[in-house]
Amino acid sequence: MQYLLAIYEDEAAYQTESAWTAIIAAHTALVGDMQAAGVMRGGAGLQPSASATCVRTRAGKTSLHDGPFAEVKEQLGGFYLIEVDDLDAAIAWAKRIPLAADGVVEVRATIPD
Amino acid sequence: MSDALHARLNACLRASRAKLIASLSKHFGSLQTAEDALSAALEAALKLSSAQADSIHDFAAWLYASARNAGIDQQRKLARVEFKSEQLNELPADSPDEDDRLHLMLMCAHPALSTDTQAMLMLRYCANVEIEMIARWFFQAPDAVQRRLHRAKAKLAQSGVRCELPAPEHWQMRVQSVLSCLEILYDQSYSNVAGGAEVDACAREAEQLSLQLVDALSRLPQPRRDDSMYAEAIGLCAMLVLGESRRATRLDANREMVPLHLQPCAHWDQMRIDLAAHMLLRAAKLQQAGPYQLRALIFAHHARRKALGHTPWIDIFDCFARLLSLDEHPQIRFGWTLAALHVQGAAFARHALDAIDCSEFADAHRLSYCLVDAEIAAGEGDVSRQRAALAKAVALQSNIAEQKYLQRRLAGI
Repeated sequence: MQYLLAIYEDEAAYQTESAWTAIIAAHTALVGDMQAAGVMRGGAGLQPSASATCVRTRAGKTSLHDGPFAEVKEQLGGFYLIEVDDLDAAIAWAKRIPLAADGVVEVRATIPD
Repeated sequence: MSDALHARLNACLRASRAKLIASLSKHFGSLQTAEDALSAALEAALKLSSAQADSIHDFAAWLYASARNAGIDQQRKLARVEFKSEQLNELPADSPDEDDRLHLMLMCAHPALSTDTQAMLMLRYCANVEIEMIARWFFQAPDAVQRRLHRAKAKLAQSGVRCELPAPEHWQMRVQSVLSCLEILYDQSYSNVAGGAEVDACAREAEQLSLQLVDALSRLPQPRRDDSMYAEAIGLCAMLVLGESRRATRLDANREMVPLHLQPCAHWDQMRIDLAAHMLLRAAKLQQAGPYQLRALIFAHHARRKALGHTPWIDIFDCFARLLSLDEHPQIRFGWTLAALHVQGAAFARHALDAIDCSEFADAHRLSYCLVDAEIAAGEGDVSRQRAALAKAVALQSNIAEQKYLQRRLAGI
């Protein structure tokens, strides 16, 4: 089964160069483990949420909005797509995702083909 | 449909429904499919003629085979076929498996669900409690419980939770989750001492489920069973059994709470006390001490008052000290302090209580603080302090039976 692991954290935690370097190293190590276990299917880190553009549809009309979908304390900062046997295994990988401070990793199964 | 058939069916369901749901869930990988398939099989059973019904020796096996066929049909989205009991009786001996109950328990109490939802699923599917009853226990409308169960089953199916034994590396997380769920179910009924017959029934279900869990774990072959989890499951079960052994004495004739050390121990249920003692010995042999075992042991030492004529505080103090080294929870600290009062005296206990920082405590902990404070003050002969502490406790206590007890004590000083 494929699972999306979506990472939500406060972007402010990454303002220093050292925090950024440390988290990149930790993610690189995790990606290595995921590849070795044969579960890695995709993933990426995202540019800051302020760079987001939302395409909104209301009553059949689309309009563009500058900025993230919602102003919240923790923003979507990156994601992994993994393929494992069950939710337990997906949760185990989610627990290993490095965070700079407090944060949430949302685990969602994808709809099978 | 004859009355005899109806009675047979009911008896079979009472004894085997949880087992059937467990085996079918495992077979189909979905609790919802299992439930629908069993309903279809029951419908088919109710249409049997008496001659057909009489030819069925093992109704549970028949229902299992019918439900399996019904489930396969449902999964293939084919039109429903008519069930022929003769044909189904010829199926290879394939009956619901006793051990599937453990798989179902682990699935219902999956840590990805909220604890309340876990408890509701376990009550409905592992203990076969009706939705109306679960709704009353959780102070919710039956519709709300129904919807919640529905959402939970959908989540389990959609997020890939399988009705199988977890991989060894996830074993700890999964069994721990079942234990916490049972503990909360029991706590809910234990704290509501004046809840009446319905709350008592809820506590008994928690006790029964914990016995089932231990039984199922005991059947697991050694390599798949984690000894520390097994020992803790036994510990939790012994704790619930010992709690139940005292249930009849927890309220007096005026429905006022009777504290543990004043309960008439002659009325404690000796069979349960013996069972728990036996279980704790079995757990001790595994040499994997843990918090549930220690808490059960504290209960067991209290139960020894029945044989000794006095409470063996020194042993209780020792258990609390070991428990504190594993878990710094404020309630455990209070328990230790209270035991210390009996073993080391009021001055020692006062010193220990003063060392507890209670500035950020929730009401439940503030209440315990006041109760221990009052006990120590009584030991010190400080009447005004005792009165003040009890008055504070009365104000914090929302449980009527306990409030009555505290008020009477306050008036008696």
